[in-house]
Order: sequence, then C-alpha cells, then structure tokens
Amino acid sequence: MFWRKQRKAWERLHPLHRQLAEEQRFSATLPAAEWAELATGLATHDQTITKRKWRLPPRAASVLVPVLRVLREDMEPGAPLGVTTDLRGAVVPDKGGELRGLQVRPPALAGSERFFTDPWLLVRAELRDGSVLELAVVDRVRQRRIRKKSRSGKIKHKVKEKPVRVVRATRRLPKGMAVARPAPPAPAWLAVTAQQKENGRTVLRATAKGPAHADHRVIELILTVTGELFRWTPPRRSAATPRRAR
Amino acid sequence: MTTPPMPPMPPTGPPSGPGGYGAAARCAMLTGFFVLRRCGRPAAAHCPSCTRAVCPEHSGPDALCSECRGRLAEHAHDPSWTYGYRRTHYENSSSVYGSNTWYPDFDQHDRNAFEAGGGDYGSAPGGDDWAAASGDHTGGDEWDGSDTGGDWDSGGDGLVDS
Repeated sequence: MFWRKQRKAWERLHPLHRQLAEEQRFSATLPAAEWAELATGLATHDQTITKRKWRLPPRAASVLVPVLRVLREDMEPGAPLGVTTDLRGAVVPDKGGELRGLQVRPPALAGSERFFTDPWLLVRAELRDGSVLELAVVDRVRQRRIRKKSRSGKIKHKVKEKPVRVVRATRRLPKGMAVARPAPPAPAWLAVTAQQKENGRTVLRATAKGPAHADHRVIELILTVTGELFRWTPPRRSAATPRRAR
Repeated sequence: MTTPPMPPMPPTGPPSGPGGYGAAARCAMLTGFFVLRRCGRPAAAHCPSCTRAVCPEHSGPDALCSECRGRLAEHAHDPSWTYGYRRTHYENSSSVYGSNTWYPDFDQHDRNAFEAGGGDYGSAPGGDDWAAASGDHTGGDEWDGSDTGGDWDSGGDGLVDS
C-alpha cells in the first residue's frame, strides 16, 4: 500500500537509472564496466519496479540497453563511455524551432509549421582497437497545424507530424591504421566517407536518413550504420580461409 | 534445478589451435561485436553443445558457452544476447549489402579467417582507393526541405505551395 518494498528497490538503483525514470534523460561518462551494470539494471527494471510513476521510457529497453551491451563488448572495462540520452520524445517545447506561418487557401483558415530536432541518443566510446566511435541518433519532426472551416461552419484543428530519423556514426582511427574501400559497396541509403586528417588519422563517417521506424527496428539500423565503418578496416586474412557452407 | 556436469578436459594431446584440446587450451570464444578478438584466456571447460574450450568467464551456470546461451536469448535483457545477436546481425547484413560472402566471414565458424590468437585489425591491401571519397560526407544529414512533400501536398488541405 505504501510502496515500502518499491521504495527500497528504487533506492538501490543506480543514480543514472533513477534519473532516467524520473526525468527521462541523462548525460554521463563512466567506465564501460559500470555501464554494463547499469544496462543490467535497466533490463530488469520492469521486474523490480512496478510503480507507474517510475516506469522507464520504452526506448530504454529497446535501444539503450542493446547499444550499451554491444559497445561494452568492444571496449576495455575501464575505457570511458559517454552517453547522452533524452527519451522525452521529439515534440517538446525546448526541442522546437521557430513557428512559421503557412500560406493557405479555403477551406483552411490558417496554418503554421514548426520543426523539432531531437538528438535522443549521443554516444562516444573508446574502443579496444584504439579507435573512437561517436554515434548520434537524431529525429527531426515537421509539425503542421491547420485550422479549417467546414461547410457547416464547424472549425476544426488538424495536426500532422512527419518524423525523419538520421543515424550518424563517426569512427576516428588510430594513427597509421590503413583503410580500404570494401568490395560490396554500401547501399545507396547509407552515405560513407573517409577523410584523411593532417595528424595521420583517418576519420570514417556513415550517415543514414529515412523515416522514423518503430523502435524495434532502430537497433538494427544503428548497428548497420556503425558496422559499415568497420568494413573499411578488415581483419587480416590467413592464407587459406575456408568458407562456411551456406 | 541441477547443474549438468561439466565435460572433462582431455589431459594431454597436441593443441590444434586456440580452441583445441591440450594442456595449454585457450578459450576459443570470439569476443566483441565490431572489433572481434579471440578471448585467449586459459580454458576451464568445454561447452557441451559446441564442444569448444571456454574460460570461466564465458561459461555459464548451465555449462553452455556464451555463444550457445546467446543463441537462446531472445532479448537484450540477457547478458549473452550480444553473442547470439551478432550472428543474426551479420547474417542479416548480407542482404543489406547484396553479398553473402562478406559479413559471414567474421563469424566464429570461420575462425581461420582470423590470425591465431590475434584478431587485431591490420592493414589491408589496396590502400588508398578510398581517397577519392575524401571530404565531408554528402549524405544530406541536414534538413534540406526536399522531402517536405508527402500527403501534405495533395489537394484538399487548403495549403498553398510556396
């Protein structure tokens, strides 16, 4: 009745875990091993915390936990991993741009348009091969509001939103690491560039832009965009490489 | 629930690679998701499912190795999920690239594709043919307004194209 067990369980959670449940956002840089503990806590949140007020946003389990688990595998336990996440959604006042009017014609009486930019996941990881990986997932939403007058004289307000998702991954290679364009090229929707810096480092960037899918597809998109950067630095092959029968 | 007995380690025998049987058997698990490396720690048991030598860190309470457990994990809530999802992801990415020979090479079943005990990334032949693509990407990551059409531009909304 008085949530004593819930409160005890709540107090045992990692501070970032509590912050994500309360504010639906956090920003921190921690050793990779500590993120792994946090990911375990986030993954079991629904089993330990049932109070509605402390419910996690859905993307915490569907996107944040898998991303943390994957990056943890490629990092040394003490390597720093920075994560900034904001899972409040795109259409919140502080993410919106300027409101601008639209030219309308009858039956519309007035219209306005506003763009929201929502960088809801930013990650910076120092991988165990010496490269630095940066990942950004940004939703851009165009919101149009129309005021219409029907023939019967009713006034109606309509709101339409068109979300677009941009996933951008950047990998800064250590000095001297060679790159080679992979044989099967990246698909057209995945733009990749390699840039040689003056300090001897190579920077690989991959960007994909498309409609915002359901969240269970986001992790696939994130891993595909990120994985493209690792095709440019293939591992050494032994002389005889048996192919697996498919 | 009882834990199944751990399969015994063969006491002697010539090592036949990192996952082979022998006094100096090493953990044959391939770790990482993008940066693949062999674990290489001293093995303590063998997975009853795939018979590979695994260290205590990659051997679960059910004696299965991380990869075999990961294959059973359906969700990222399971700590072994990455091991199973890595295979799924690489296999699915073959369809993304229209090639079924690139990403499967990275799988653990083609362990010979990686240098014994290594797995570190090295130089690849044919070095600078990427230079033609240098410069900032042109993937259109800024909002260019080119896709502001859609159902809004169809008639009936009372909007005037500006």
